[in-house]
Amino acid sequence: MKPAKPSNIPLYAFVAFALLMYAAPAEAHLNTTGMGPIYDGLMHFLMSPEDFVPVLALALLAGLRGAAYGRRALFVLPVAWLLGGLAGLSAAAANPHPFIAAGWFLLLGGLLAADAKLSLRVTTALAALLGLYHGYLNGTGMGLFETAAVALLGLVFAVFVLVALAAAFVVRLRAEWARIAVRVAGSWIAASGLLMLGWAVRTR
Amino acid sequence: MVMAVGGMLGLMGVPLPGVEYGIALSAILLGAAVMFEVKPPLGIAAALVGFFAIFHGHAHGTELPAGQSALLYSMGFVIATGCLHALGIAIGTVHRWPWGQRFLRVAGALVSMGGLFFMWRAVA
Repeated sequence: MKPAKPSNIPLYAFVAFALLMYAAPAEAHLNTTGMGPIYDGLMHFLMSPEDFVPVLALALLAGLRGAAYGRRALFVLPVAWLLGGLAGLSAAAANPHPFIAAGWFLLLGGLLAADAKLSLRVTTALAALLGLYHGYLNGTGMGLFETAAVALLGLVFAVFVLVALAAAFVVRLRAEWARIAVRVAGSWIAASGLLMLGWAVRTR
Repeated sequence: MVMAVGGMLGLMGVPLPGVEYGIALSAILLGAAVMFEVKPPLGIAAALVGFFAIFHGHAHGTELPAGQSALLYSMGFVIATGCLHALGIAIGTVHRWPWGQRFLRVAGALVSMGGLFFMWRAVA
């Protein structure tokens, strides 16, 4: 009778244990990895509804109009944001005007809710204006930090990803109810803009 | 949207007479509409809901404490309102079953009675 072959499991277990016990630096704090400013910029965008929501509205609007519109917004908005941000880096700090912030919510949310049949040229202009304005505001706020340009890159990257995801999601929607749900999101954004406008008047 | 218009008017300090009465009346009439399964034309239903939404929004706008974040308050207001509507629509889907129709009529009666209570509080 052939002797049983010894199991390799203990060897594998030892290798796995050794690998698990190998304590490489965790580098949980991203400033030690060189990713810190990029992460900061990315998170700043994701945690700032005043930036995030208008971009989302524009992406949904472009997606409703079709793939060509989505592609245009996908490239124009981040580039404009970057240019505005670079211009803002060397400018004095500026605060967003509450009326203009409310206006972006109202305009983009209203256009989305109305399923406005905008031309590609108008969509491009809207994307450029939104990017330049918000990028400039971001740039002025970041100008005090040495790593501001890198953070701006992270922020622009986040804008690109959001537009890509949101526009692509809407472009493929065919069911009428799904497109109406997207328009409802626009009405919510516009309604938020109305309330922000009321607030701006109240605190003026 | 119309509720947000009411909220905006309230935030701006634009006075609106009879807000409490309007809110109570909305519960009475809309609850009764559910109870009796009234099916008005879409335009009339939208106008009715929009008219009462102004009162509800105005109340929220005027009662807001100072020092809050305008953006977060606005978004919370709208998201909560929208989710409540979605919840109401979801509950309304039980209308396809006989027991659901009875359930909705009872719910409408309860809403209407709640409105009567609000009206009594507002008048007294």
